[in-house]
Amino acid sequence: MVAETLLSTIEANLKGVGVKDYEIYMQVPTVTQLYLRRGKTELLNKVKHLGYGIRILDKGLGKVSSNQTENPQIETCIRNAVLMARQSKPEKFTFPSQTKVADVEIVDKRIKESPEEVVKDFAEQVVEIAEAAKVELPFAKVKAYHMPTSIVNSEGLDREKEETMLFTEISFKTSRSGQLSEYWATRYARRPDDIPKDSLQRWAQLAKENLKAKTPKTEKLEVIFPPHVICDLLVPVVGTHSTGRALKTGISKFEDGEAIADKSLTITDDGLYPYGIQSSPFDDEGNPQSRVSVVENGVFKNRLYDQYYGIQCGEDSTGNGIRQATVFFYIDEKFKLLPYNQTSNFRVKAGKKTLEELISEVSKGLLIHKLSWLNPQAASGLFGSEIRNAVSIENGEISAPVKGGLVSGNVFTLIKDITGISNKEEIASGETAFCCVSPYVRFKDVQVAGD
Amino acid sequence: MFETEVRDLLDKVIAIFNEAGVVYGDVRFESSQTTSISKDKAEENVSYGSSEGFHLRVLRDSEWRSVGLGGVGKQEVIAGARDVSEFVPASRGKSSYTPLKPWVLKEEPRVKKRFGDVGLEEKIELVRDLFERLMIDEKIVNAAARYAEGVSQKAFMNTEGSRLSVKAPTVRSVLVAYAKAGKNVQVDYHTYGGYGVGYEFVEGIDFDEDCKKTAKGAIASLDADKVPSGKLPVVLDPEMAGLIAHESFGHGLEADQVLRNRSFLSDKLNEKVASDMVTIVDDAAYANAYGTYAFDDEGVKSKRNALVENGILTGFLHSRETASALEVSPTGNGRAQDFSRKIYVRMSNTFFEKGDWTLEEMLEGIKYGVYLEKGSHGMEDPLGGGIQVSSAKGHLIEHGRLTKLLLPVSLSGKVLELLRNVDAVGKNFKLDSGTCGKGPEDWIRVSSGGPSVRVKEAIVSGG
Repeated sequence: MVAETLLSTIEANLKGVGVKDYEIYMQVPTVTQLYLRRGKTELLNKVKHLGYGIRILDKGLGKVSSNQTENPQIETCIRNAVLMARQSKPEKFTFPSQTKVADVEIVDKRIKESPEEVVKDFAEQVVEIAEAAKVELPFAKVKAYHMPTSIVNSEGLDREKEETMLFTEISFKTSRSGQLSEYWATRYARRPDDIPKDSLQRWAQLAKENLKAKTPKTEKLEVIFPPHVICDLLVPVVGTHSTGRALKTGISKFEDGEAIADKSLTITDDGLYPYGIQSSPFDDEGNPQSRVSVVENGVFKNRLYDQYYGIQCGEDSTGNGIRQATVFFYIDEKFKLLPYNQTSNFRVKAGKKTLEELISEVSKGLLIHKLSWLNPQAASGLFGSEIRNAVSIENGEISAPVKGGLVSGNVFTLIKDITGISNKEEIASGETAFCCVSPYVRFKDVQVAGD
Repeated sequence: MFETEVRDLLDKVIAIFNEAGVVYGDVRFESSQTTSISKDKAEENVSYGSSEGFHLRVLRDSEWRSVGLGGVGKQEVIAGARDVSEFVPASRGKSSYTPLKPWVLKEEPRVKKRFGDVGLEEKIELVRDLFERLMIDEKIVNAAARYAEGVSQKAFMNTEGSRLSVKAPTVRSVLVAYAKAGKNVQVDYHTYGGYGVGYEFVEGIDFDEDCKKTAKGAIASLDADKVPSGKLPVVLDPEMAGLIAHESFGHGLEADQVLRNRSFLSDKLNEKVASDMVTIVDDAAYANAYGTYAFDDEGVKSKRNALVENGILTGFLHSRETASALEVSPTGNGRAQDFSRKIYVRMSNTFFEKGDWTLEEMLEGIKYGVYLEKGSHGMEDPLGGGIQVSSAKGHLIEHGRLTKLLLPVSLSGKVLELLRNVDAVGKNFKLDSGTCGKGPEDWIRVSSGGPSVRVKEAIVSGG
């Protein structure tokens, strides 16, 4: 109701000063946050937001964002947007019009209706798992987001949606004879069920297993990366180079029909994946989200476009105008960002072998559970990251825990060196890239540096 | 919201807290107005943002309740105060919080030229000009020039009687150049940031020189060599030294990690943790640095805090809560990203103090090593004391001289081992502006840096 009134007020103000082409994006989120310290509640914080972003086309594009709702403040915002539109470079642009969108599941009923209960239950489960595994719980945080969002524009587009998100960050720790070990996990999910109990149990177990970890030797090895690392590996690099933006700015390394990866790699940008972290019926400009085949059997197939780069490149938007950033993730304050041409849910097609089979085929290698922070350079594809939790593989079997040292390389080379993809995909979130859907992926000749 | 309205509203919140009998409560109002201009080959973005919000919190024993409110009216703030006030102790006066003497501050740093005195058109022209200056060669396929200015206001009151307010400008600018040759794409960049400065900060920058350096740096990287992998002698430039001081070492000194039993430095106070040459400081009062502030988000005055002096660990960084629990004075490091977020112990401007070596002297005697240049990113490991930092580029050191240009370099190992292996500290000094997360979120403005630092041996590889 508040949003409806505010939308009408902003729209009336825009029309009142003669603005003909505009878009209003509005979020009215609530966030419930629970923080634990050493297994005990430290803080319960509740946040109530309201914010809007306005884009005005008046020769150029002017953009403002605010959470101020009084009329004089709205007038200031609009005045600024008009001034900015008139002073920035003229643009060939039109806002999207209303078209049909698909249904996609992105709401968890419990988060929507009882967020405090959800964060408390989740935290309680984490405490129980730590106790059962006999590991310490230095801290944990759980956040539940409920976000009603509206987009209207001067082309008659009028969209509404609700979505939910759960975020958790947990440290499981063990110590013995002065040795310390930790598994420090972070995950986003649409529903609590997408961070299942067995994942939490595995994280606690990984903290224990890493206690006797050693630094690896400097050598090239076969390395298996888990889904959340694949997210940080592929999305910032392959994702970026697959956009209309990369094409238009001249930095894309990919050409249509070019073989860019091993034949086993097939990637779809799936904006409609059920409960995918960036799934939505429409993107943050109101265009329908879709499924786009980006890489098929190692060959680059199609680009991703938002409204701006679609027009610039003479293509239709693929629903990839999203208010999200790499590294600095926005959930309840997306209204502060501008739509950006990027991936929705990059989905790596699962292979046929189990993870166990992938391991059994490695004569000497590593299975990575967690890297410190894989933050590849988007333009060059170069990366290097410290190993936090891993195990060595010798003659097809898990051998010993590994921590420290670096894995490094170039993503563009790495995707040509895929030697296996596991048969089970999962919704994953990274620390550089917000999300993807991926199985485990194995690569050959990965540089490892250590003792 | 006008200043008097805010003051009245904050007074009402504190009155509600006192009436309810909370042991400790505080309320913070934040507002900001920002203007951002960016340009690359395809897009020109000019945007304005404004934000207002309140954070109210109440303590019971060692547990907090808080609310963050944005885009709401006065009545909702009052309702929020009543809501958190229900979280009162069973018996009055019972709290783990050490009281502080109340104080009053109203501060607005003086600048020579307010951002508002310079027209939007002039700033847009500046950004367009920077973009053109970056596109100096056909190998530069794209460039980006970004400029962002902001004015933020903060007002703070607590149940102890402190009444604080500050209004201060910040500015940040970034230059990026992308060079391409065939399928090889490389990037270089330059950043600037200041707190409590006006447009004179921007006018004082030698953009012409920096644009040339950035574009030439990207082009040169097209021919850069791969980084050798293994344990080698390294020399860190000021930005990389700052990343080590901040990411690898400083995060372990945030005392909330001590309360969590998650710091590798918990039991090392007054112990030797680094070479005699090492002195590391966190200084939130450093004039005009990007991580500077007048008081933290708990109303504690900012100050210089020595963390390591001549190799000895001399102190941790504290919020009021950690200081109370560990029975020391707060250091003014309780910071939140904004009104919607939790207050944590955070760094501000973190750096190595200068030594007396020249770079030439530091390179002498290294037969084969790596010089790491321009800090790119890093991640903390407060429990393990591990290192994850990467530079944007590097140079090979051969027989005491910088030789081949290298692609990005990553550095790993144990930070205490690295600090003990410091055997030369430069006489140069530079602070680099950046953004710091507590783990993967809760971003705040910081700076880090120092002089060049030589380390006998560390693990390096490509990055």
